[in-house]
Amino acid sequence: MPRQHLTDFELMILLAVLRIGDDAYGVPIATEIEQTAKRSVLLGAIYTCLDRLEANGLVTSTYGDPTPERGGRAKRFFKVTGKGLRAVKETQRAFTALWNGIPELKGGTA
Amino acid sequence: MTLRTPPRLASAVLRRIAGDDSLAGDLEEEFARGRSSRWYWFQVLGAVARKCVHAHACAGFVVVTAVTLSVGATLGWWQTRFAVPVLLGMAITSWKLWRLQRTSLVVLYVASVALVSPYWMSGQTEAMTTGDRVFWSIARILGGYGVVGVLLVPFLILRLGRTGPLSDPPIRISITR
Repeated sequence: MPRQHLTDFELMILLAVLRIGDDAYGVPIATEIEQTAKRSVLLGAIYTCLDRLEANGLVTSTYGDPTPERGGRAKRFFKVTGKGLRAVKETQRAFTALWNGIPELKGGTA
Repeated sequence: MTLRTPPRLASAVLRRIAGDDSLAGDLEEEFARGRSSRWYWFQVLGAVARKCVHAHACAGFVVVTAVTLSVGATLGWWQTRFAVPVLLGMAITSWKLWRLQRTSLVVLYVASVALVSPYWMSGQTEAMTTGDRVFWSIARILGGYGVVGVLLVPFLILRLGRTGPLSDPPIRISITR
């Protein structure tokens, strides 16, 4: 049976791609996660995860034009698909449901 | 403006093993913006490790097993028991090499097997002179690394043969609506 929910890293990447919009490729995605989620990530890990998400139809990728500062290599831009968006919402719903009703987590202090 | 060039060896490792152009471009872009060589190496080694592990689910297990067995061989704990994984590795590799017919891999593999031989020949060290012991200790260490080679070369061949430079070009299908 296929997995229904995303891992925390997959979720972070999908949210970062959604936040960045049209310019979502490896570097901005890593920067977004590092700055917003305060989590340092390997670029290789991001690509491995994005490859997996693409294989599952949650993101699509397109190549841009090669640039000199990248050694003549093209950027690979990512976009979240409708299926990816549904997966994000479903994961959020599951997390929120688990979150509710825990007295220790109420009021924003541990 | 002159662009900074990332460490050549790290770039070569990334190109050869990870083989991801987008990632290489991202790393080069970040390096040109002022990231350190250490950061670049860290990213490259991380990418290579991930690529190897994800290429085959058992890769991590194979590497850990090979290293563990090699250390064991070097310390001289196991003697004939080692023959089983080594012979298995030889059998897999011989079969793949026969199918792939790559001279460079044959040389690499023969070198690994040649290094294993001193290990098997260096069993008894009790009645030896100090000079002989030093010689056989070195031979054993080399033999240990040979064992790693014998066990890792099949993995490398399978890895390169399936998705790397030894594989056939992928079939590209385009669908026009």
